[in-house]
Order: sequence, then structure tokens, then C-alpha cells
Amino acid sequence: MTDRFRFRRIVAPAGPRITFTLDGRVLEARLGDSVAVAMMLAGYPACGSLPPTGRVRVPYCLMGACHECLVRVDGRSMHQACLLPVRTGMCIETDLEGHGS
Amino acid sequence: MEHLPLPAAPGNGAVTRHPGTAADTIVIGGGMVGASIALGLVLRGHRVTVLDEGDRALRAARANFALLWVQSKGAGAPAYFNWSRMAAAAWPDFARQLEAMTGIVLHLSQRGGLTLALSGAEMDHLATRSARIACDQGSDFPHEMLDHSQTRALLPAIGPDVVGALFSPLDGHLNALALFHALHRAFGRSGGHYVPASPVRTITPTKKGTFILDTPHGYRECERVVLAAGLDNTRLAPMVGLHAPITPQRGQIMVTQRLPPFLDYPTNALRQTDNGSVLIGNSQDTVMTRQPVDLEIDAVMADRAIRSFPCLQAASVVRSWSCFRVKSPDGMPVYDHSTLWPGAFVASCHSGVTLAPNHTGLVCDAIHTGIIPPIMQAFSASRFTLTAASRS
Repeated sequence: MTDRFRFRRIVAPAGPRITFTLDGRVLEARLGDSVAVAMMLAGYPACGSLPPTGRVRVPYCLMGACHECLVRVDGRSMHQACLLPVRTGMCIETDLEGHGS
Repeated sequence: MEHLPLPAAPGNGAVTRHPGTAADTIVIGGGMVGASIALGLVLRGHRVTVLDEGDRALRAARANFALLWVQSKGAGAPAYFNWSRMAAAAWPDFARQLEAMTGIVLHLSQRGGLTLALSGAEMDHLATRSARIACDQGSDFPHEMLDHSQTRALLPAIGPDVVGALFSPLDGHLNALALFHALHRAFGRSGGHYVPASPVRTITPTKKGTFILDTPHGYRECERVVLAAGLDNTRLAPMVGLHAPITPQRGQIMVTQRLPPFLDYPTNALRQTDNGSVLIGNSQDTVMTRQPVDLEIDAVMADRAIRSFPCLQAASVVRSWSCFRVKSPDGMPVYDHSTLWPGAFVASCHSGVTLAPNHTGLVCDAIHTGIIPPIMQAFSASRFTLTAASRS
């Protein structure tokens, strides 16, 4: 997964390093990143699967319009990852199996 | 039967090309109706330019629900039922051709559709209306009134409040975004020319039989002009001796998160798209403001949706919008040619998706050959002026 999605930060972040979990895996982000950006930079952009086909979906518009980045955050579902700032210790879950393994 | 001659274009309907003329035919409006007609004309050899407005135009195409819908059309107006049914029958071939031309999958499904009734009164209304259509059609209206358990057999997810339903095998739905994309792509690939952000301020007929269109990018001259500008047809039509008494009708649509498939058939108010989203929206009001969404209307629609399908209780609405549909006084389409200024044609209708095959087909034949076929004659705007005259 990390090989396929190589997102690179091109603007130096102002915020300090923090950690959050994605499907049980501990990952690093910068304070000020959105959850979607944090997932993309960590190499795990997949947010869920499309009900009819099972195809994986990833953040697309990054501005709240497309709803492709819906994830569960601290137990509450239907969060738009692109609109939510990542915080220390945040627990992000997708409905994808094998994400954390 | 009487054929109303469409104006004499030079060479009896054949298109003559003048050097220096930008297009033989200009279609004003690049929405569902304009794109369908533009494609049909370019396929008939016209040099076609579509002049469209920008993104912020009042686009009726945004209000469409992507249904191919016959079962509610034309009670007491058999011409409209026939016109819609003919389009529905043409859809399978039309979709195949468009898909072959463009490589875009339309997700057409025509297995039938339902209108759910949540009360005995609603059931009675559906039965009465269907009886009227069946009477007009000499009983040739394939449909069934279903009770609760018969409805449940088709749609297992219905709730206890559903009294029954009207089912007609004539109906269906598709992906309207894909259709819109395909119409424009097929038009472009066939040599059509599309110009966005180009509202037409005025149309001036000339002595030599052409039309001069004033746009922000300069003047354009053409031999034929087709008004497919939705609500703006009302303003444009009188400039070429036509009449388009169209009023806006506001509709609201809500879209849920993507859900596993649970609806095998579309209903008039709710359908599940090929990508799992559920579209909810059958509101109609005539408030003419640009206020984005009336939450009370959303609440009523959501309540009906949940009573119809209780599993939607847990679904999240991810967006909602309002839009203006195009409505004539009697709800039927308006197709007309100008007798004062031959070469001008107007098309306005409520059902740009259902009627797309007719717009690309028969309507373009009428524009191209100059003959309005009998099946279209009921849709002349003269019906409104005649009605007004007979009242006075």
C-alpha cells in the first residue's frame, strides 16, 4: 500500500508531531493535518469500500463535497476525514479488513 | 393527417453552408434537452453549435431524478402518454447506441417502477388516475395495482405504512450524470461545437432568413436556431415569433450515503443509484427564490422515505439541493416552429431524461425535414393561446 500511494508533503507543517491510530495501527501525523491528509501521507488512504461493488474508495475532493472519505472516528461513524483535524490519540477506523495488519 | 410545414430552408430542408457562417444551426441551451437535440441534428449532417450558459445558470437538468417514467404521464392527455411511452420503448436501442458511441455506461434499468401509497386515499388517487390513462389508451396501459404483500414481493424493504402501490413495467431509471456526459461526448465526437458561458442576450431575425444572436463573445449568425434554454425560453421565444409559457417549479433532492443494494425497482419518489446512493425527492413547489434548501420540505420527504423504507432511518443524508424544473401550464412539453420567422424552433419540457430518445430522434427529424409529425402536433404552443381565446 505504501508503495502504491506516495504522497509527499510539499509545504512544511507548522504543527508538532502527533500519533493517531488507524484500524489499530499507530501512525504519525502533524497537528494541523486533516484526518484524510494524515492517512494519505501515512500511506493508508483507503477509507472504505463501495457497497454495491466492494471497490475501495479513497479521499477525492478533499473539500467536503464528494463523501468518498467517510470513516469512523472514536466510535462515531460517517465522519468526513477531509474536514476533520487529526488529534493526538484519535482512533480512526475504516470498514476495510486487513488495514491494520 | 395534416403536416405542418416547417419553413422552408433553402433546398427543401437540406442545410446549405455559407462560407463565413459559423454554424448552420445554433442550439441555445446545453442541458439535457439541448444536448439531446444538438446530438440528433449533428447526426443528421447539420453543422451545430451549442451556446450554453455558465455553471450558475438555473439548470433544470440538476433537478432531474433520472427516471424513465411513463405511468403518471398524460391522464386526460393521451398524446403525452403516447409520446412518453414511445420514448420508453426507444430507450434500450438509444442507450446501446450512445454507449457504443461514447464508451460511457448509462446503467439503464427498465424492469418497471412503482409509486407507493401510504394511505387509502393515495391508493384511490393512483387507481383513479391509472383508470383514466387506461381508458384513454383503450386499456393498452400495462400496469397493476398492488396490495401491501404484492408490493413487498417486489420491494422487500417496505414498511408497514405502505398500503400498496402502482406498478408499471414501462418504467425504469438510469444514471443521469452518465447520460448527460454521454450526450455531450457523442455530440463533440460527431463534430458538434460546444460554447460554454455564452448566454444569448437577443435574437434578431434578418431579411435574408438568418438569425443574429448577440452573445458576450460577439454576434453569431445561423440559418436555424433551436431554443432549448429551459426557463429562459420564455424570454427568448417572442424574439422569433414563438411562445413558450413556461414557469419554474422548485424541487428538492436529498442524497444518502452509499448503501448496500436494497431497492430492485425505482419508485417515483425514491430510488437507489448504481453506486448505492439513495435519491429522495418528489417535492414540488412554486417558490421562486434562490434559497438553497427548505428544511421543512426535506423533513417531509425524509419522513415519507422512512415510512416507505424503515431501513433508511439509520442512513445519513450527505447532501441536499433545490433546483427549478420547467413546467408548462398543462404539464406537457412544448415543441413549435415559428411561422413568422422560419427556421426558429422551440423545445421545452419537464422530462428531459425520459424523452431524450424522442428529442434526438423525431424532434430532430421535424427540425431537419420541416415536417411536424402527427404525434407531436398536440404539443404546439398554440394550444395555450387557443384555450385563452375560447375562455374570453
